[in-house]
Amino acid sequence: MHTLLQWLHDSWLGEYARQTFWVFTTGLVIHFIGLCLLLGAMLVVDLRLLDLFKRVPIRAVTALLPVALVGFCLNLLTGIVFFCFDPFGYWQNPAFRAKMLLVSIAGVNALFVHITARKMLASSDPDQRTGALLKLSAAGSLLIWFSVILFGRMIVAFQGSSSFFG
Amino acid sequence: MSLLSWLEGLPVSVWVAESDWGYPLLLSAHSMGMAIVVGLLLVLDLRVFGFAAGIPIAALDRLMPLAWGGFGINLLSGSLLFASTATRLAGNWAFLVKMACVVLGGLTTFWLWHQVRGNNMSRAKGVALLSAALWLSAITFGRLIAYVMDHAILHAQ
Repeated sequence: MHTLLQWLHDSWLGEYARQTFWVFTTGLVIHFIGLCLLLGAMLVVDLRLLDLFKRVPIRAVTALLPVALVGFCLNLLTGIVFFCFDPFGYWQNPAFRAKMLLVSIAGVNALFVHITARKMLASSDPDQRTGALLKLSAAGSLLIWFSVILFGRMIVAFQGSSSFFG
Repeated sequence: MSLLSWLEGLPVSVWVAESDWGYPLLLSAHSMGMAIVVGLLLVLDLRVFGFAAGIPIAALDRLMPLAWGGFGINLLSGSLLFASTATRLAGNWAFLVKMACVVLGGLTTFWLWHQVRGNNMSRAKGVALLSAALWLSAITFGRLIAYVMDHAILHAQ
């Protein structure tokens, strides 16, 4: 692991991010815009899957998923730049670890919904009701994404520490 | 004593500034509120441009109380964050530009709904573009606040 972190640290991307002042700042601005795209789209989709956003076909709200994906990709790319800026700092930061774990769970959850609810996601009935399992996944998705914001913000607070309890 | 230092001296402001968790938790709440407000308004702007056309715009109107909820979270968390650093924020140009963007962004959002409800969709597209530009500028200048502050500290040393 140490070798990989060192390699990322010494990569041109890491060097460039550390030497050019505006890279990190601009990256953070894009990271926040990506976050709005991702959360805004997921909020509408998940509220519909929770049957809280009524009289709209599920198929219509899933048209927003590409928006969520664009937001996610913006944040993945800028996130890689931040990580290369200081790989060792991020790797041992408990808030960063928790955030990455949550993002992975959100990914698995989204995959699970796509596999198990394929038909439901394509429904063009505006009054289509969803099942309990799909509602649980949608509620989980919102909870996870908002927690991702929380732990993302906590990364700075935990800079230099390697445990939540220290 | 000025109003700003009075604000900064309030017990709640001191708690925000000096406790371990006050500041980061309020910043987290502020980011969540931002995600709700700006996220939903960007969805609205995209919809005005014809994206996800299967969602009736009238249905998005029903999500606006949620956007207001996000705005409320940010008004509250933002006020507390401001109170804790009032003397340094009041002269911070990035903060002042952000506040202008938020006010103009809010007014533009009202304007957008006025056009949308009046079914004036060609005008609404221009207003949607302006609204998106203002909210994204608010985020950009919000991010810059800390850098302007650090810069001021560096110069004072």
